[in-house]
Amino acid sequence: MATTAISPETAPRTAAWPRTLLMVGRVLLGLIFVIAAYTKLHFDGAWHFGDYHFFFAMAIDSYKLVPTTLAEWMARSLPWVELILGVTLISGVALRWAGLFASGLMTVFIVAMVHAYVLKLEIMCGCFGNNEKVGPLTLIRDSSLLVLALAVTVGAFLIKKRRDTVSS
Amino acid sequence: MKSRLARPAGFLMWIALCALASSAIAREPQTKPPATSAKTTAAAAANPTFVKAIGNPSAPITMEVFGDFQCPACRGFFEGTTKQVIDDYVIPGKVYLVHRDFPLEMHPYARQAARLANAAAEFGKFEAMERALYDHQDDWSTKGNIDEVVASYFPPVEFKKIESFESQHMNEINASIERDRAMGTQRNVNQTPTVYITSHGKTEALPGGGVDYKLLKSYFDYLLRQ
Repeated sequence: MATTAISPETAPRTAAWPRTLLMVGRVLLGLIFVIAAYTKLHFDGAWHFGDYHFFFAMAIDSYKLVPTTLAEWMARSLPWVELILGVTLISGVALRWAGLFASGLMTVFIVAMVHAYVLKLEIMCGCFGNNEKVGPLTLIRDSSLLVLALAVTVGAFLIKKRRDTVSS
Repeated sequence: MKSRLARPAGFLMWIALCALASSAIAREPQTKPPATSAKTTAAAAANPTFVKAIGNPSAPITMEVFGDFQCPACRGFFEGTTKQVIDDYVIPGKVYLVHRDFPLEMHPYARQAARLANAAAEFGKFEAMERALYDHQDDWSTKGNIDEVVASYFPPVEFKKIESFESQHMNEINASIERDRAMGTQRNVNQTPTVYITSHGKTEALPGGGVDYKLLKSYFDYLLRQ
């Protein structure tokens, strides 16, 4: 088997670089999700635990993609989902699944943004608070984050696979 | 091995930098608090301001709408949300509804419509004029025959008074519209309709482009419960 060909002296050294890279990627992605959650809960200089969902629901509703009731439900839950996802990514727990979930979430955001952009809807992104319009820059940013999320996911799966192969 | 790893490392760093840079560029400056500056207040005192408002000024909530009478999104917001707000919150004295003129350059007849609305406000007919302008926007927005379209929704004598007031006070009305526009610019208004809600001494900007009535109702009910 090919795995038996890996020398015990070289294996840990070659595995350290991808792991470091993966750590940097997941911490960065996690921090971005935590910041996204923070800006939805804290704006205009104050925490908005009681009313954050009104503003965010209005932003989601302006995309004209989901019914108002669903927009309200998403607005209530999304900041907390982003916070939990961010913390999970930073901690590195269940990284493959957190990465997959982050990639899925970013895909949903990009689809919504492209929809708004194609329809020429002059709306607020709602990504990091309610202060930026959907446009090429928000699309580039979210696409970059999707690539980062995919890189983290693929990296996490590859490292797990390598670990399983070496251990077997 | 080193060169094989350097490539993905560089790629990942590029993605991170790209994401951070675009995030920083895309973020617009925070909406400034809408407190009227001393300069604006002084200007308003020197020039008459035509109050385009409906309801009780001492209502617990003030809703300011920066609008353009020729803008289709403003009409949609007026028909779908504002009318219900008037019925459910303004008439019972819970919301004070204020219109601020923000005619966009792309709409050639928006300023003319705004002048008529300002003149109507002088006779306490702002609400009727706003309804007539938005309800029949399609009839005047292509030809600009605003007076002809709107006149039929007012008693002839009353409309004559509004029309003559508009022509006699053109400069004051234009100045009033400009003050509204300047106020909007100061608050970073860059699209219509843009809505501000003031309650308990705090003003919040709602996402631009109009808001669904159901969501606005939830927010008003929340504010009224506080």
